[in-house]
This record gives sequence, C-alpha cells and structure tokens, in this order.
Amino acid sequence: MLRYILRRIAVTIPILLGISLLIFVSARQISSPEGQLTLNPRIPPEAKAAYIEALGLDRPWYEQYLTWLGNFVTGDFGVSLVKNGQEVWPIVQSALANTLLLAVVSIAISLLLGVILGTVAAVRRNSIFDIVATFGAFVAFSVPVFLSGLLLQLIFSVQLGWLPTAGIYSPGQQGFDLVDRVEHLVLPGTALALQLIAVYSRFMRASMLEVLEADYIRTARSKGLSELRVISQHGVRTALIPVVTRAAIDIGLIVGGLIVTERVFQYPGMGLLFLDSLFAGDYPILLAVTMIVVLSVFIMNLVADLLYAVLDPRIRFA
Amino acid sequence: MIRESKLIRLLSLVFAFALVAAACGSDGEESSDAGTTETTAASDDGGTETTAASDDGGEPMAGGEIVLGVEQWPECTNPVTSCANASWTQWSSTTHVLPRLMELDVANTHVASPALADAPTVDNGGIAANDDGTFTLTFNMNPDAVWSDGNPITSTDVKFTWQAKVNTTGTLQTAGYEKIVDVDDSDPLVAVITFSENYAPWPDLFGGTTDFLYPAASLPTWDPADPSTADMADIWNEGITISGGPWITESWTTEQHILVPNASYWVEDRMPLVDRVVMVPREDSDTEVASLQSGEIFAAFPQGFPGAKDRLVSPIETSVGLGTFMEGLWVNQLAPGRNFEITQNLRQAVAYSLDRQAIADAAIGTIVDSPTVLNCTGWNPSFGDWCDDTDYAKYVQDQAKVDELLTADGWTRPDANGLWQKDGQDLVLQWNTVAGNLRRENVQAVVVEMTRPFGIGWEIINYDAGELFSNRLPTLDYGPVALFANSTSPDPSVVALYDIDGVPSEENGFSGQNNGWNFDQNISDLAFAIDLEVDPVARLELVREAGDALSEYVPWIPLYLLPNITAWRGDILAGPVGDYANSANGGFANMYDWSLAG
Amino acid sequence: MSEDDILVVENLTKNFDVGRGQMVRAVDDVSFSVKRGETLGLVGESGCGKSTTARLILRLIEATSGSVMFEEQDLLKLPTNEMRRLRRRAQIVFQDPYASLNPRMTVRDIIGEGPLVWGMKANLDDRVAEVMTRVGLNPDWAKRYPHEFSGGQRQRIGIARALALDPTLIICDEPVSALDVSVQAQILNLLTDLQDELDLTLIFIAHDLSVVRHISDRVAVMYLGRIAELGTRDEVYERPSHPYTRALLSAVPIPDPVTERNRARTMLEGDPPSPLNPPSGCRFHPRCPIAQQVCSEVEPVLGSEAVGHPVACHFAEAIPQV
Repeated sequence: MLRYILRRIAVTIPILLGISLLIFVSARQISSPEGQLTLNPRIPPEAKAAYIEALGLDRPWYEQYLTWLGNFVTGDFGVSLVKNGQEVWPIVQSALANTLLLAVVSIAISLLLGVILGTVAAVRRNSIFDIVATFGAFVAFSVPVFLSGLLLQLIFSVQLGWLPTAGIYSPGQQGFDLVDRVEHLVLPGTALALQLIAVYSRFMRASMLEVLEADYIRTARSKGLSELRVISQHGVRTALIPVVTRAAIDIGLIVGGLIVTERVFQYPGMGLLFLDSLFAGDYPILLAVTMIVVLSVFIMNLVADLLYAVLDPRIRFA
Repeated sequence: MIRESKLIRLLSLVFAFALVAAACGSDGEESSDAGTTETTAASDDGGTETTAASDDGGEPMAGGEIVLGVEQWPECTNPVTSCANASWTQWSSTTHVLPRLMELDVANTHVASPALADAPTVDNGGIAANDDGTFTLTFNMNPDAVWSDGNPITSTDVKFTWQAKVNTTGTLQTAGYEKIVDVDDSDPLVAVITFSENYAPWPDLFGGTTDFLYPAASLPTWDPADPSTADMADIWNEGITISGGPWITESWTTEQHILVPNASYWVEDRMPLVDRVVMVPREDSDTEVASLQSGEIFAAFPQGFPGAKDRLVSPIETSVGLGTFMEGLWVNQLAPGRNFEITQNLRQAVAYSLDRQAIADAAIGTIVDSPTVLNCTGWNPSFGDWCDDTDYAKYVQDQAKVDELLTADGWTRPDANGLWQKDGQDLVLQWNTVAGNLRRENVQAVVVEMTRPFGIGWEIINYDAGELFSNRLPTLDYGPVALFANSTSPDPSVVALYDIDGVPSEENGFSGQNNGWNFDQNISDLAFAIDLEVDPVARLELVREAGDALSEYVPWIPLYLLPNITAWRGDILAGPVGDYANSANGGFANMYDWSLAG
Repeated sequence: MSEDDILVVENLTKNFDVGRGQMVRAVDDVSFSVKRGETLGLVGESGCGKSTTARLILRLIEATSGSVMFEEQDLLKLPTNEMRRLRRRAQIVFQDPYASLNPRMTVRDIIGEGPLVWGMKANLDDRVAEVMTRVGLNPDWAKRYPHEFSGGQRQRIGIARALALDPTLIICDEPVSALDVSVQAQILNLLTDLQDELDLTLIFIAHDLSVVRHISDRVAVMYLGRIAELGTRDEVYERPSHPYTRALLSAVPIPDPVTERNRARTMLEGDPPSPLNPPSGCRFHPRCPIAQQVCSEVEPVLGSEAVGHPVACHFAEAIPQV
C-alpha cells in the first residue's frame, strides 16, 4: 500500500511540473500585470519600465519560471504581482477554505439525494418515477450553471426575497455568523448540487441496476431477506462504491472548477480568485491556485482509489 | 481598466431566457409602482441623462446604512502603487477618504477643494511662469482642514505627497511630479511648488482626476531631507486608515469595504447623512442587476453593458453618463503586415466611408437611448470646453470624397463594385480588437458591410485582451486598425498620445504610448505646447488648433464614449444619487448627500 | 399428490415480455413432483428453461400461471411475507460460486445473515462454524472474504449458506458446471453425503446427463421450456424414449475408448430454435432424426402409455433401444 502511494506520488511530480509550465506560459501569453498600464496616460514610460523590472517581468520567461519553481519547491508561493506584494499563500488559503466548504456541503447533500433518487429509480425501473427522474436529471445536467444560477437568483432573491444573491456574508456583517453564512451558501450550493444530483443519481441508477442483476442479490433474496434489506444491505452498499469514489474525485476537481458558479454568486473561492488573477495577469496566484487544484485532484484520486480498496475487499494494491 | 470575457457574453445571451422565465413574476411588481412619475430629462450638468423619480423635496432622512455594489473590487487600496491604476480603487475608496488640492466638480471642471482657501490663478499670483524658465504654483491651504487624527492638512503634506509619488516602490503615475524641483513648506498654510518648466496640467497633481494628498504622519520614518524615506508601498494596501474626506474606512477586506462618517471633517454641507456605507463586490453584471432588484445593494455604477436600458427598470432608476473611455478605430501607421502606406488620404477616406452614428447605435444602442458620436481625438466633450464637437463632424459617409482622396493617392477601382487597388494590392486593412467582446465584434460586423460599397475591405483578426494590450500594442505589432477604448482625463494634455518621441521603438525599449498614431511634428509640438501654456484662454486656443490639425491628420477615428451608469433603487435611496454618473470620480462621489428614502 | 411428495409442480408457465408485443414462453406447462428425500435431476441444454423453473419454484421470479405445492402450501399464492418465511425451507445453490456470493461480505456474514434475520441471533457464530465444518470448510476462515477462496471452496460456502437455514429442499442450479472436473466430484459427493445425513430433498439441475446420473433418483429432461421425458434414473438412462434424450445420452462420452469409437451416435444438429418463435408441432422436430410429417403438425403430449414413463414423442415406442 505504501509503495503504491509512493509510486503515485512519483508519477504526479512530472505532471505538476508540466502543468505549472503550461499555466505559466499561457498565463504570461494571454494576460499580464503590465498590460493594465498600457493605456494610462498618467504613467510615464520610465515608471512603467521600473515597475516591470521590479516585478522581474523583463527577464526571459524561463528565468521567471525557474525562479517561481525554485520558490515553490521550498514551500514559498511568492507574492502577488498586482496586490502590491501581498503574500500569495494567505490569499489562496482563504479562497480554498471557502471553496472547500461549498464543495463538501454540496457534494454531501448531492450524494445523499442522488443515491436515494438513483436507487428508487433503479428499483422501480421504467416506472413513472424513473422516467421523471431521468428527465429531471437530463434537464438539471444540461442547464449550465450561469443559467440555473441566474434563475435561482431571480426566483429566490428577486421574486421571493428569501435568500441573498451573492457573497458569503450580508453586507456589513463582521465576524462569523452561522445562519448568515448558511443563507449565503444555499443558492451557490443549490446551483452546484443540481448538476451533481443529476450526475450522482444517474451513476447510482446505473450502478444499482448492475448490482440488482448480480447473482448475489438473488442469493440474498433466497435467504428470505426482506426486499428492503436486500436493496439496502446488498444492493446500495455495493452500488455506492463507484458513486462515492466519483464524489471523492469531484471534491478534487471542484476545488478549482467552480469558476462560473463562484462568479455568478460572487463567492470568494478558488474559481473567482483564478478568474481575477487571470484577468490581472497575476501569475503567482494563478500558479498557486493551479498547483493546489492539481494536488487536490491527485490527492482525491488517491483517496478514491484507497476508498475503493476499503469498500471493496477484492481490491488490493500491489 | 476594462475587463471582458467570453463568460460575460454567454451570460448576456442566456439572460434573455432568464428574463422570459422570470417574466410572470415581474409583471405584478411594476404595476405596484404606478404612483411614481418618471421623467427623462437631460440635466444641465452636461452629459448626464437621468431617468428618475421626481424628488418630493422633503428633508432627507438621517442615519441608517446603505449598501453599494462595486463592479471591480480593487486588488489593494494603496493610492500610489499599481493598485491605484484601477478606476475602482479611486471610485470605491480614495475619493471618499483622501483630500486633494484641486478637485473636479460635478461638471468635471477643476475647482479648489475644501482643503484650499482658494484656487491659484495668474491674477492672485498663485500661478507664475518665472523668468528663469521655472514655474511656480502657490496654494493657500484652508486653515480648517484637518486629518481624522486631528492634525491640520498643511503644506508639509503636499511636500510629503510629492516625495511619496516619486519615491514609493512600484509608483506608476508620476507624470508631472518629476517636473517638480521643490515644495516649500516653511509656511504650513502656504505650499509653494516649483516646477522645472511650465506645467499646464498641474490641476491633476495632488488632486484633480486621480490624485490625492497623503498625510506626512502616515509614515513616521519620513525624513524630508531624504526623499527615499517617502516610500508608501507597505501601507494602506488593505484599507486607508486615515481620512481627510467625508468618510473614513472602518474596515476593508476582499469581500467588503465599510465606510463611516469622518467626525473630523470640516465641510458642513458634505457631512454624510447615513451612518454607514457598505460596499460589496458584484463583478458579474447579471448578479449586480439581480442584487439591485432584490434590494441587497441599493446602488451600483456599472460600465454600460448590453441590454442595460431594458434591464435597469423600475424600481431601479438610472442616470447615464457619457463616459470617460473614448472608443474608436486607432490607426497604426507602422503596422507590420501592411502592403501599402497608411497615408493621410487613406485615413481620411476610411473616415468618409463610415456612418459613425450607425456604428454608435450598434455599439451602445442597447445601453443608452440616444448614442452620441464622439467628434474629438483627445478630449472628452463631458470634460470642460476642450472638445470642439465639430472637429470630426465633417466625416460623414461621402462616396465622392472617398473617390477623390484615394484616386489622388494612386488607388484605382477597376471594378466599380470591387475593392480599390494599388500596385496589385487590394485595399484590405487588418483590423484587431478584443476577441469575445460582443460590442466590438458587433461594430466590426456593421463596418464590414458599411464600407463594402466604398471599396474598402477588412481582414479581421482578434486577440485576447492581454495579447492585444500587453504584447501587440506596445510593440506596434497590430493593425493598421484596432478597435479599443482609451481613457481621457479632464485636463487636455495629449502629450502621451501624440509625442513623436513616444513611438515605441528598439531605442526607447518599446516604452511610450504613441502606438503608431502620430508622426506629425506639428501635432507633437502642439501637444507639448498645450502642456506648457498655463493661461487657460491661450491654452484653449492651442487645443483648438491641435484639434483642427488632428481632424485633418486623422491619427484615429473617434466613434463614441463608453457610457457609465449610476443605477439605484429609487424606493430605497433618496438624494441626488445620479448626479455624478458622468464624473471621473465615479457615480458614488457624492454619496455623502445620499440618504435612505423615508 | 402422494403423501411423500414434498414438492408438486403443476402446469408451471412463465412468459417473458421481451417488448414489441413479443412473448417468450420460457417455461411452458411444466409439471413434476419430487418425493421427500429423493434427488430429481433436471437436464437440458442451456436456454431450455431449467434454471427458470428453479427460480419460479422459489419465486425469485414470479410465474405466469401454474402452482407449486411445497409442504402442502401453494407457494405461488402465498403473500410475500409468508413466502419469505418458507424460503428458509427451500434453498438454492447457484451455478456461479464467484458471482453469487456478495464480494463485500465475510463468509461469516454471508452464511450468518439468513439465520440472523430469522431470529437465530444466539449462537450465530456456532451455527456458522457448524455448517462450515459440515461442508468441509475450516471455521477459522469465517472472517475471510469470498475472493480469498478457490472455486470449489466458494461453492462449499454457497452450500453452507443454504444449509444454515435448515432447509428441507435444496435446488442446486448447475452447482458444479463452473468448477474444474477434479473439484466437481468432491462437491457432488458432498451433496450426496449431506443429503443422507440431513435427509434433504434435492433438485439437481445440469446441462448434461452424465453429471446427474450418479446422484439422481429420477430425471426430467427439458427441451425449449417443456418436459420431454421424465422417469427414474434407470428408465431414462437405460431406456431413453425421446430422441432428444437419446441425443443427449450419445453426447456423453463413454470411458472406454474402444466402445466410444465404435458406437453409433445420434448427433444433435444445429442450435436449439429460438424460444421466441418455437417450431410448430413437436418442438424438437427440426432437429429430430426420426421426425415424420405429423411431428411438424401435432404437438405430442407427455404421456406414459407408450413406454411406461412419461415421454412427449409421437414415436416413443418405435425408438430402438440401446
């Protein structure tokens, strides 16, 4: 097991390097902090040149990259290029915490609902319930977040006035307030969960259908178990394995993949930070975000694999 | 600066569907507001077009909290470094808390701020061009003016500000300050500033459009004898902690900015009415509108977005300003891919092939009701009298002029329906803009059709904003034509745009902002002369002369200004909320006069 | 119905709806009975309906019509709860010892779950150990998972699992067909031993006659959802009266190479016809070596008149005996 983990880590390092290089090159190519200054007539050429030199942006790109890499491997994420020298890590850390909260809560709720919906749909295959659930999942999955997010805002914030449209706290709120925080989590969480529930319920349905066909389900029935016990103990528990591992991988992906949701709901997480940094050409933050996303995808994939082994005794890592 | 993305475009497209879906609910709401009378009137402060409920004239209600949406949250709030380059740093923060020497009034005219006893003029001896070629400004400070810590605002603060502007690590907006040779602060109430030469745009120093005064006390280590100690890079990055304005920052984070009245402020009629202002980021314009509709934010100052005039409807009221960004076809005469010279005749011919009103309608017709065509190449009609609105008025579609100009330039048009040709080359101009920017791509589509009958063709190649502005513009690797917006300031200085020595080249390390636009010595000289003429009347004459020369030379073809909108909840906010929609200080500039509606 | 009959199946029919209005009659009017303590072999090619019959009896799938009398109760008419209760007494051992055991449960849980839900909580571990010992498994292995066992061991687990509920009837659905030949005999011996010790009734399903020969008291041969021939072991093996039975028998290799090489063989030609569209008349006629005109027109009834045991063939008496 330990060897397996070590081997996975070894494979990940070149991936990390490759992605960081790719992000660096493309970030430097499509955006730059100095670009913001080009059209400001109050900035004399000398001041601009001094600024660019101070940030090291005039050096060859590989030198800039290697400097960044050198700092990164020693655990130094560097300083932001546009936030006037603020440390990158605290900025990323707070965004990461916000996104993780959103991701974990949404995934937990989606998993619960998705598993229930998928199981019932599989057990009552081709029933009205199954057809409605299938259609609903199709719609929920097809509607992009920027549309469902806006609709949620229009319905629950503008029309009904129940929930806030954006942010993580009410304006003026200082310090932690659980109720306020949760209220601000509902709409972005729902927008995200709509898609996740659709995915998980389909996953669960397919997985459950496969399991229900399995011989050991017949064995369980032949033992004289109640149908509820057959489905819950033998069916769901087994069918859950691919769904749970998928959810674990999702946590890894969502850490960086909520750009649209976070922008629509002005949710100060990793996606919004990524977008803002991309626009601003702030590559130290961009790279930090990306590295954390890659790492989290890697870690959660590993967790998913290990989870698989825990949940399914047949799997052993050599 | 302007941020654009494909995301925004997608969002705008789908919003149509969202509106349909929400239509059932909104019908009922509008009828409940039937009692409000709406008036559309162009107010006299030049350029704001207000659609607002009439004031009921009662006493404004004091106290309470107002919440405002900020479209681009500043990365940091330091007023000296690159943080200050973002318009919203000023609009959401510095304007409300820092004092200035000269300031802009509601019509964007430079006037003495409350920190001054009076404005320097030639008559009162405040403005003096000296025999030795130096230039002296004398500011009389207002003895009542104090910082929030109780210290008076003095000439020493002016001296400190000068040194900080020049010596802060990462300082950028140093134009003008390098010309200062000394600030005499021997009398705390009299700041005598000596320049190495005449500097006409002086009202934009220590105040004006983007600048402010900083308190010397903010840096205890400052030694006036050692200018390098005036380095403000490490302070005020997350909120300006002191105030010399109507408001003082209570807290600033990346998620909200809380301002409360500055109890030490000495200007009676600018004392804030409400107890607290909370600004929160709303970077997505759809979310910004939704938050206005839900009443979570009471006002916002969005840059005009497509569909704005249809979506900002009752109970949201709007006031539209002409804007501070000039959008036009910028012509790079040194474009690398050109197969022929981009001559004056050719530039004029292009201008004569365009129906600029139709272009403005296509570009900003969904933002404002009656888009205005921009007729100046350097001055904004909403800032003072500098822009002579007739400069480019002569450029309307004119087939005969196009024929005459191009024929004189050696072009022929063998096929009357085809393109002009010269030396076997078709008259096809490469045209770049920001990819995914709906407004600009619209303009391209309209113009391509528009110039076809005139025999002028286009090759459209669009880039990401970063690629266009960071990589191509400064190296002249674009065009011959590019469509983008450039900012204007109330001061008529156009040196940055038209200085011949400011054309980026190997020799000057590709610095300078004359990105291939002007190669005319006379225009360049006039631009410098404008900056050296400190007599406003003589200065206006020079500006007119430059304007005429520019309209002949056609360094670029002005199209329209990008409108700004103050949008607010008329049922929640009261007071002169929309007045500053056209202000360089942003739509929230006068929020001290705002109050909660009864 | 005789006093000794533990199970009487009458007119059992199962139609599967395969969509587009089409029906497959997987089991068609099947009747037979099993006496307490005996072993009935149920033989036929794959797809003939033998496994379906087993599942219909235990109501693992629901029958279309017919009746299944088990210990004097009609299983098909029992409410679900009653049926679950009776399942304990009629157990099944499945063909595939790899798939039929829940891979995520330990052997203890697999074997013990039945007794657990039926209220045998006390001494559950003893009970598990007891049946494991009985089927020749080391009780110390109870904490292991199925994948840690060989195929033969897994089938022992499957049998132990069935035994744990104290059944009177065990249906063995091709229990050895997935196993190596060397292991097959061990499992068969285990089953016969258990039958003797525990007075079990067995229905033993197989797709070739050789496997059931040694353990069956009586044998039923199925073809395309119907019983073709039903008789005692001697009747079927010594005097096969249906050409299909003969064909199956001739496919069984004879362990003497000389005899094997020289004997006359009735080869079955082609695959069984599609049950979607069974042949008219006698279902076997397209593959039958002695088919006549009548075979394609009239379906023969299962009757004992011709040869003394039930055979469904128009020419049963005419079939030359070996």
